[in-house]
Amino acid sequence: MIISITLGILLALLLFSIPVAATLTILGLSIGEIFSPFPLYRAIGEISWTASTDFILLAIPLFVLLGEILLRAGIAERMYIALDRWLSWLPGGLMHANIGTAAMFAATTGSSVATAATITTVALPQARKYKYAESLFAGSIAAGGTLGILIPPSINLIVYGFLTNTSIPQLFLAGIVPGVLLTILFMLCILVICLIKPELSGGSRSSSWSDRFSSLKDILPVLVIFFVVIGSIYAGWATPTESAALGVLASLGLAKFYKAVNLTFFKEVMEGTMRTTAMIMLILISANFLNFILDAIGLAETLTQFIEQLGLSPMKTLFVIIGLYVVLGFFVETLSLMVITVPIVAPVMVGLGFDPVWFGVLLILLIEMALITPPVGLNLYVVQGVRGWGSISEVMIGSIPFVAMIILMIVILIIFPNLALILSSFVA
Amino acid sequence: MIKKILDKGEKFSQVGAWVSGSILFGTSILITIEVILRKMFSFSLGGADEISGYAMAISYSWAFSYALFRKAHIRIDVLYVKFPQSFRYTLDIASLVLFGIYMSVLSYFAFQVFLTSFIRNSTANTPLHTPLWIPQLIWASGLIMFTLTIYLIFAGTITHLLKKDTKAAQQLSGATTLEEEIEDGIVGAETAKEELAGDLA
Repeated sequence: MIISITLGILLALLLFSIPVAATLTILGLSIGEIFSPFPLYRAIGEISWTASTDFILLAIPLFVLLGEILLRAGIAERMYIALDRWLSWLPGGLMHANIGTAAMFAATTGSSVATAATITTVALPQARKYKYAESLFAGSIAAGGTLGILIPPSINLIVYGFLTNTSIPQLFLAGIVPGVLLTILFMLCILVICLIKPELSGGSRSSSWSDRFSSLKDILPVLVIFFVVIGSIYAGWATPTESAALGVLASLGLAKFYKAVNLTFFKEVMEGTMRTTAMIMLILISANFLNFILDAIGLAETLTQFIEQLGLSPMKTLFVIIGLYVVLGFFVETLSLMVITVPIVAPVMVGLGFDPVWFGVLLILLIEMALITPPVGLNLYVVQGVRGWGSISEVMIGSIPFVAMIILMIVILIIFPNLALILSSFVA
Repeated sequence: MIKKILDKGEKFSQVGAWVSGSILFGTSILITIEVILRKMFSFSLGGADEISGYAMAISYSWAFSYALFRKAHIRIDVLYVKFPQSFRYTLDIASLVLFGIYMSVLSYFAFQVFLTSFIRNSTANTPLHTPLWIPQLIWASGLIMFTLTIYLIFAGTITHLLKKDTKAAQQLSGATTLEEEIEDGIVGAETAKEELAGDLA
């Protein structure tokens, strides 16, 4: 009863395109009124204040700020050129640079949309010039853009950690191995496809070693920022929030080095940061209030009981959940998908004996898949939008091999859960 | 008339975003100093995390309006794009009404949070003994400002629709189109591309 009414209100509001933040709170207010004898709505001020001042959540705006600084300083473009020199001799050429740049850049900026848009802008003219098959080329950019939410620092992992009370340092470390592995899988996939069908790849080019080494100066700075952020967490010097603050100043130093810093730069960075931050934080504050209501009326217990009554084994439940996310991922925007489902699904999975850190990584893989599966795969539309001609279905077809790789990675992670847990066990 | 107020509101929210962003940037300096002092000199400023927390709450409560003017608050548009335009206006209005209800409730109780702290003279349970009403007042004012912005955009949309200026109504409160989203994503990339085009070839 509780479940169906909650779901009913939720779906109705979401499908009628009511803003997600408003949907969550209106849902919380109404089911609080229906199912609880207490005036739960009175707590909304206090609860929102507490969530608003939570030091852990400060990591999100700071990582957004870090990303904006790097993005507007033109770091991605420089990195693309550098990686092109190192990787273009491989079968598949520039597509490896797409994946490499996307992985490194999206990892540091945490925004897959901005990464996909930026790389498309720089890379696509090259694809035409060297006569690449645009479908696979565009697919590689869309897919590459998703890597950043798995490789730390990842805003999605912070959101997961916040919603489930899981250690964010552990989640960050858990994301590294699967993230790197998936990057390699993407590249292997391009390599194999282009060995079988060389016509999909463009003309092969090689760069001189001196060119390569001189381009290192454009790769190293981003690696330095990555190590400042992750290293300081790993060494126990800084919490994720503190490491984000260090990263902000380091990236500003880098932007200064590239002579990108001026008043307009600052204004744009502030506007971009606050637009994204305000959007994310309002949704999180609303989700936090909804969680409080759901806790108070005991929805999670009801749901856990319901699942226990189904009598499924933990593994079968896991597959049902995965199936659920694949289907929802077709239609629902990813941040909304996370804040709506995680507070309910994660406790159930942990109750069945799955590790919360491991499940977090698995969930992020599913979210990555959602970003490149039609009809609501945001990255597909971003790449197509920047491309500006041809049909979206070409981008969708080009993404299929990468969706297959994500599925493979999910299977690998289920068979070898230690891939996620090995690094994170060090900080346990 | 309404157009003037809308323009003023948008400008004001933009300034809000600049100030909020700067506050956020300020906290990253404060936190960095704290981390360096702690590691290098085993010395702590004390309360850097607490102050950063207040700064964060204030910074985004004052940025919500800007995000609304930029239509950054996420709406699920799977069905929206399939509906006829006339029904979309209804949904845009409904969105603003529900958003308005949400923020009115939140602002009211946020103001109560401030008022309670003020009357009881509550201080934070930390070495700083921060009088909580100060950050809470600035935070609650930001939320009230956001609520007023929602009413303003609601009034603007209705006015535009009554005048049959559908384009302006869509621009003001329609769900974000992909073009707008991409535009936001690649600012700056264009110039960099031209600069580096020679380099790549």
